[in-house]
Order: sequence, then C-alpha cells, then structure tokens
Amino acid sequence: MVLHLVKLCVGADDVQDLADWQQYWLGERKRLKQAPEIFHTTRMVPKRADEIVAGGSLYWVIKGNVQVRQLITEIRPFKDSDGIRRCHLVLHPELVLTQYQPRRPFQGWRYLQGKDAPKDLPKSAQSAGAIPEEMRQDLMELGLL
Amino acid sequence: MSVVAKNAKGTAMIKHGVTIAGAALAGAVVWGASAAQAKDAVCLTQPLKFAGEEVSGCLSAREAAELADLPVMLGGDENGKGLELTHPTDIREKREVKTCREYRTASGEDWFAMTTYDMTIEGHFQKRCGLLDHVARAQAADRDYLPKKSVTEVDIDGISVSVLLLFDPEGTAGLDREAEQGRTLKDFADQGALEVTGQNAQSLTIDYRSMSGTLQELARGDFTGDGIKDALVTCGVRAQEGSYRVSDLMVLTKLSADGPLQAVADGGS
Repeated sequence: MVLHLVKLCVGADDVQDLADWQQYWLGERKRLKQAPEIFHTTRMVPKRADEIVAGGSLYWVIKGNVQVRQLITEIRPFKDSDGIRRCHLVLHPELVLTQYQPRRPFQGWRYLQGKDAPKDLPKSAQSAGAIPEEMRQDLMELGLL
Repeated sequence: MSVVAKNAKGTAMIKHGVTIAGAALAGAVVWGASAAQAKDAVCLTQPLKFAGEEVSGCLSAREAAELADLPVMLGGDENGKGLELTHPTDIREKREVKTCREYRTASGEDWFAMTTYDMTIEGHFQKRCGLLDHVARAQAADRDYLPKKSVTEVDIDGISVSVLLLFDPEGTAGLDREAEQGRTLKDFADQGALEVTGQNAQSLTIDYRSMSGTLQELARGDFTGDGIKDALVTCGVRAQEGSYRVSDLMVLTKLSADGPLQAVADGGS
C-alpha cells in the first residue's frame, strides 16, 4: 500500500492560490539560476521515506479540507545554516485535485495510509481548474463534473 | 465557596468562587456580581491563568466576558508578546493579539497563525478563549451524573470510544458506529488497538492509531443546554511519527448514573 503525507497548506485560500505561489517560487528559482523544482521544507525527516517516494503524494489541506495532492518525487535530508537537520519534500509540479476530506486545524505533517486518502477527482473535474471553487463543488454535487 | 481576593488598590474583597491572584491588573475586571449572577454556572477544575490573574473556582458568564479583555498569559511570562496573526490575503501584514476578545475579532476576520510557532501560541489562546466561550454559553445544571473524581480517572471500561475523535483525523475508524454499539476504551485495549499509557487526576494519556493523545479536565457545567452537568476537557493529540499536532476542546457527559462517559459535542474552539 502506498504511503502518503498530509499537511496543512498555511495561508492558501484555494488550490489556485497554491498554484500561483508555486509558479512564483519556480520563477524566482529560475531567476536565481537555481534548479527549477518545487519542494516543501520540514524539520522532521520521515523515517518511511522509501515507502513514500514509491508513489506517495503530499495531500494539502486548504481551508479545512484536503483538496489537492502532489506526487513526492524525492525526500532530501540536509542541514540548514544553523546545523539543524531538515529535509526537502521534492514535489512534482502537477497539482491533482482530490475529493474534499474535512480536517480540523493542525500543525505539521503525518503519514496518510493509501486506503485513507481521498480519491482523485475525475479528469473532467481536473480540467475545470479555472472554475471557482464553490461552483466546482456545486457542480460536483450535481454530478456535472 | 467564597474566597478573598484583592482589587487594583490591593483592598481585600470577597468574591464568590473566584480566586484572583496578582492585584496589578485586577482593576481591568468589573467585579461585584449581583446575587443572581453569583449563581455561577461553571466551575473550573484547574486554574485559568491570565496576565496578572489566576482564576479558580466557579465563573459566571459575566465574569467570563470580563476575562476576555485580559491578556492571555503564555507560560510564565506576564509581559511577553501576544499571538502574531497574519492577514488573510497579504502575508506581509501582521497583527498582534493579546486578549481573547482581540483573538476572536481577528479570527472572525480570517487572520491566521502562519508559522508553527504562531500555531503553538494559538493553541494556548484556543484553550483559554474556548473555555471562556463555553462559560458564556453554559447554563445551570439540575442533574449531575459525573463522578466526584476527575473524568480522567474514570475506569476505561466506563469511557466511550467517542472520546477518540481527534485520534482519527481521516474519520475512517468508524468511531461513531463503535460508540453507538457501546464500545469502550477497554474494549479497544483488550483488542490491542489502544493502550492507556498514563492515567491520574490530571490527565489520561492514550496511544491509538499511531497517535498519542492526552485529555485534561478543565471545567464542569451544562454546556449543551440539556440540564445535565458536562465536563469540558482539552484533548491534545500528536502523531507518533511526524510533526502532526492537533488540539481541541471536547464536551464529555454521562447521561445516567450507570451510563458511559462520552463525547457529546465538538468543543467548537
């Protein structure tokens, strides 16, 4: 069974907000002639890294719901300038919309078993990314996406 | 229960059920409740600390409203910084809140804790301010089936698995169904699914589904409006692997003398 991570996407109002932020981040890295990759930095290194990079994703909680996931392509431990061990969760740039799964506010990350992860939205809904979130939910409930 | 407290001038005064330590900021509170208000609906199980104040005993809704204007004390630092919140649409804009009233106003406007540190500090606010909110809503109970001892000391065969809500963030454990069937923590422990790692008058600590969590009783009163006395508890849960942490208030009750202790409502903090 694939092992995932789940984490709060602090400060994002919706998936588009996350996408905009990551595009901005990529642009900045290109401008600074750094590798154009998206990663999230965390202090605790997942011990089950091998299971995660074998197809696992980071499921982002936005405004109280899991809404989207990104494939974790690499977990890269490093030491920061203060000598503190941290790690980069390197993410695939594609944002895959998922079914909403409500969450209480929380800190940090935890493992998410594959059987507990919300399902991806169908392709028709993935391409409807430009539709406002509320309308997308309404259309989903009506079976129109 | 009446106790002696001091006002801003250091003058001793009698206050029903509320102990006020540290006179420096006591002037911020308008004391002197009427006889009707002295019939306090909620009694604290452990002291509630604000800067310059330590409140214990029983509280009325009016007193809770007054406490909402006192700075929340973080650790032992009475004069420290408050909680830094970030603007909902412009993360460069920050705002510091120190009292529960300020926190509620800012939260209502979607200001949020952005960093892990801010989230930790926010947890202190949620506990204290959530308790004050519950006191403000509480009613006087006319029936009480709770044990005299702390709810954290209740035998685990008398505690419903409904108290494990925060341990199951995915909601996949079917706790609602298990609770409806009358399953208790002991049932889960006997199956090897749960382990109680600590239990005393102050706390009940449980390992379940790769999470460790601790319940602590805060106050008693009728928080649900059914006339039955409830216990307000704080529940903090962390992943055994990972940096995940979550905490919330829960209302526990016993609906009859021989019924289980069970979670009846979201604390709503």
